[in-house]
Amino acid sequence: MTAQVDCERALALLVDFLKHELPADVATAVEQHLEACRPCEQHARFEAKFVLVISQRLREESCPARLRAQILNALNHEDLSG
Amino acid sequence: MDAATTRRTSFDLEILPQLDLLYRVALRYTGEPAKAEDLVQDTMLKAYRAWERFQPGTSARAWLLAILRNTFINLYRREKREPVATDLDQIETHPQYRPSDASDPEGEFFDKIVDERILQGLDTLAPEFREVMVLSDVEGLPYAEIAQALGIPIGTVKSRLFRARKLMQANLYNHAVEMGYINPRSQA
Repeated sequence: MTAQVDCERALALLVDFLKHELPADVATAVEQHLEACRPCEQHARFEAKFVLVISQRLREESCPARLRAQILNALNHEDLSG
Repeated sequence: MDAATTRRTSFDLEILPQLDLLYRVALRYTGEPAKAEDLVQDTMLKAYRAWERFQPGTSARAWLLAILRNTFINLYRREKREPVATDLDQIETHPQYRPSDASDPEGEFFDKIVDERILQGLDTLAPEFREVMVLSDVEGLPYAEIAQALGIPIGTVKSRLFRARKLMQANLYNHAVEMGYINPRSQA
């Protein structure tokens, strides 16, 4: 029952679409548009690529073990004094 | 188990799994590991002392990130008061770059850019854009949790994210052209 999505609408919904934050029927309509429209599909691939690079490359650090131990110590100390 | 033990157990269960996320976000806020470590430690202690105020069933990481952000602002921004960007969300950005015009429409040039240069691009964004990009695109949080963590409406999260991406993409695209990773598109 969802109306068809044109290019303007597809591009407006693209960020939400790639974040999986659209209702299922709207997401399906966007997907159908992307399958049928090459410029929009390319645009979507570009955006998806960008987010993939950002998420993979900038999420490598983790909390140093020493800091983790310090925090646990501090929490234990709180428990004793509190 | 006594009440104190239960309290500690629930805190550990909900909050400790968020330490890596917390540390990375702290790094992006402070820009240096030593300050990030202090910020994370302060945040964790504040969170533990305020644990009664956390509502079970809501997002622990959004709650924790809100504490991190407030702690950061109180600790570090007090010193160097930046001008308040009152109409930040009204500023129209005009990135030159439109992906559909490019000689590399699917963005393969991103793969050639080194991590440090991507970080550098992130650092050039206004803090309000950077934090949205970090929480959404680096850490993958949904809009609702970002809005809660930053204390702004979901619509504002969306518009900041949109602009942050355009600015960041333009920045990386220009870098890729300068480095010769891609040919600049012909002026049509």
